[in-house]
Amino acid sequence: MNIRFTLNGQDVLIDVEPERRVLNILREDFGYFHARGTCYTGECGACTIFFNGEIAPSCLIPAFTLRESKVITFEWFSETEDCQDIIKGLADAGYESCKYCTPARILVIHALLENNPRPDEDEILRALSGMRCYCSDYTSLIEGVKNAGLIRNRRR
Amino acid sequence: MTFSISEGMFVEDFFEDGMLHVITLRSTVKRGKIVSVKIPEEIPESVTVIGAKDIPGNNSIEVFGRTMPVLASDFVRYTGEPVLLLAGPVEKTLHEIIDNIEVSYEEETPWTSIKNYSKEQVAEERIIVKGNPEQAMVDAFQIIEGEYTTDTQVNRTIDPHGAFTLYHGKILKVISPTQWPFHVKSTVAGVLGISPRSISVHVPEMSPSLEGKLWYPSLLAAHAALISYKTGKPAKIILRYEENILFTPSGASVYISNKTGINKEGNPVVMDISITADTGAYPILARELLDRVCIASAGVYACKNMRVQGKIILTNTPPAGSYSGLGLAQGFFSIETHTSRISELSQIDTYNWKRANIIRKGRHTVTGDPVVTEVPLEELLSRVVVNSDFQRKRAAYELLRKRRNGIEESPIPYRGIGLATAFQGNSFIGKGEEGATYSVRLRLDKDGSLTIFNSGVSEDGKAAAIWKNTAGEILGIKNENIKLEIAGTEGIPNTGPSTLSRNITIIRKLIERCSQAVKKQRFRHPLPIELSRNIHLPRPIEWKPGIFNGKIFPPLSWVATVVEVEFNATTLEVEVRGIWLCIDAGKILDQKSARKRIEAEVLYALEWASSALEADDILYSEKILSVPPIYIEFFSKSKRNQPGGIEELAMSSVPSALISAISQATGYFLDSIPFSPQSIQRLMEEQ
Repeated sequence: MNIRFTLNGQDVLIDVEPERRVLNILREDFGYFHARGTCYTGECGACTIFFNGEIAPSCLIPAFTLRESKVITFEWFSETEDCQDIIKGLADAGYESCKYCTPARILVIHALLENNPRPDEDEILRALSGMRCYCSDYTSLIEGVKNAGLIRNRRR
Repeated sequence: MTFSISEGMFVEDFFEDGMLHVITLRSTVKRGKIVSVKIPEEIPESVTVIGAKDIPGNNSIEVFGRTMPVLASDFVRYTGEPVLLLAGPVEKTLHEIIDNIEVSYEEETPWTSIKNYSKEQVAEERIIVKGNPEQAMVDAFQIIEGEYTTDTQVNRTIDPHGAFTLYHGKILKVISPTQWPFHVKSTVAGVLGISPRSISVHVPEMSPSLEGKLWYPSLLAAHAALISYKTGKPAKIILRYEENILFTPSGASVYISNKTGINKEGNPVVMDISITADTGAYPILARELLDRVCIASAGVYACKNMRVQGKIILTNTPPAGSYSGLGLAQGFFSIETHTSRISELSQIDTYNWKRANIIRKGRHTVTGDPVVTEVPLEELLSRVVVNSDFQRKRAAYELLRKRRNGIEESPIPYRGIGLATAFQGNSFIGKGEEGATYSVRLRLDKDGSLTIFNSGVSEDGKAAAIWKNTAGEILGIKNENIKLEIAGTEGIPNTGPSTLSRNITIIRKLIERCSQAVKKQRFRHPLPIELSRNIHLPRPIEWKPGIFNGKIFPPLSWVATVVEVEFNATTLEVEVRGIWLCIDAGKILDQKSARKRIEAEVLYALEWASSALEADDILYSEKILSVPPIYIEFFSKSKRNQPGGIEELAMSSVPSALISAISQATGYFLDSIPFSPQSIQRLMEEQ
């Protein structure tokens, strides 16, 4: 099945089986490794991407739904000022990032801050509750997200 | 060959041209003889199938003298045990083929219970006798009995278990997320029947493994290596989520009964402790686990007469792994919950009971070891009690509880507060590593940069930062000029497994000694200077009937912990209001990192104590919404200069303090973990 869609700002055309997972397409065909496959049930959050502007678990998206869609992965997002704000906010809080889950966490934090520039602790934890990782540096994570919101608001 | 390993790559990120995916055909029965295996004849040429008979070397993985098969040959001992490996370029095709392979079994009645077991199931036994327990039990003023169960610690690490192998010339490279690279190397060499010199192990990125990647990665490395060996092609095995959860090692579940005789003052005069631990189908690490449970189950209390009997029981479940505490946590849960119960029944304040009975300098531990240094527990207990306002709260909550008539609708919240103590040592204590020599090497180059070579694995980077700081401070070199060679085995000395706080207590110490040696030679010898330092592990302890010789765990780290909870009488849910820990772990090298590590361990301990298999989603979807305040105080009375381990202190103390707090809040005595609203409901109905 031929599918044309926008991946990280570039128009791409792929020939894939319609039921193939977008996660596997991103990792195996395009080498975008920051989306990671753990549970393949949408529960762990490690495979998060932006799909038509919304955060989504790429392991649950079948290839046929990619037609005419816009996909953004962490690799592209990491080059943006928005991402740098988040990274700085987390670093200032002393957040010790976990290389496995942090890319997905950053996408989730971006989505949160876009909707709510000044989230409180409960809102932050609720937004991140879909992430299953044992890295658990929650105190710094909460402070880091608040920092990121302030940095972003100032820059904008 | 373009192969390279770079920072940030997890094992699942490795791809190579011509790579074969490896999947596993697993036993579908708990226990039985393999009668026949029928593989469809029309398998594509590109697919390779390997069974036990195809293994060129030993069909076994060995840890400290205990073994299990790499692939089951004629008998399976747990559901999920690997029977065949299938490898091919397209994973989907492999799954289609595996569905058409027929394995028939002659099933036997599985071993499932650790309470009702046969002689065949007993893999290991211990007995310690101190004083005259029989006579002391007869003479005791009152006897208090309790039974305590700790369920398994489930493997929930987010990055999957796996391995990637490929030939680089004549060298077989093995990418394995392991805490023990040299164990992977020796296992793969043994299974393939080749020299360890032709194998090079590299450790990729890993997320925190909670001690779940000690020996199991060696099994998967052997699986991938078998495929590369047979086909000459790169091979990758990545376990699926359900395989990770169901078939990889979990922590052992343990049942402990404790019969304690007390005198008129409520002090213990005799303890009779019986332990059965389930290490699954193969008793990997069973000796170590049993030693540690036996030691911890006697706790930190002085008691002249004691009998501790321990047994490892085999069941037809996946073999148990290491996990936090490796037995200490289970032992401490029983003794601390039991002593809280004793103090309550003796009508003595828990704090005063524990403080009065803790072991002091001049006495002997349960192991016969004389206590020659000050035990800091009295100080830790008094500090944590003050920090948490324990005595006032305990008394107030007790008064409220007594005024209530069971669990009923009430405008006054149901609250409880519990107290527990524990210690931890470092490294292994049992047989297996005797005579081992581990070493670290440093190289100071002409450009002033320093390279550290050791096979230690720093999963979250904290240990690596401490290693760099240690060397940097001694040699006056900035962190950016210190390089840590990627963990593995190629050109790197064997530093042993990175478990049980050894990264700090052994590897850091070796780096310190090595740095001091380099410092002595600096400016006296031309650069580069390359030096190594070794450590010889002391002789192992020995169990003898009635005597347990040897110094265990030098140096010890100690903790006193308080947990406060609020119980919802309508939903039967528990909210943790606060956790206070006071810790003596000698010199704390990095306060911030240490606090973060302990906070994370507290959350793991809460998860183990409160959810486990019954409520899979609690940690991730609900508990994260109520991360309790955690207050940590480091206190060292001895001012000792060497750091001790900290990683197991929360796991050994938080569950018991939590259960004691819930028991006070509800008025029902809890003696098992995990608890859940359902288990509290059952308790209410029973009591």
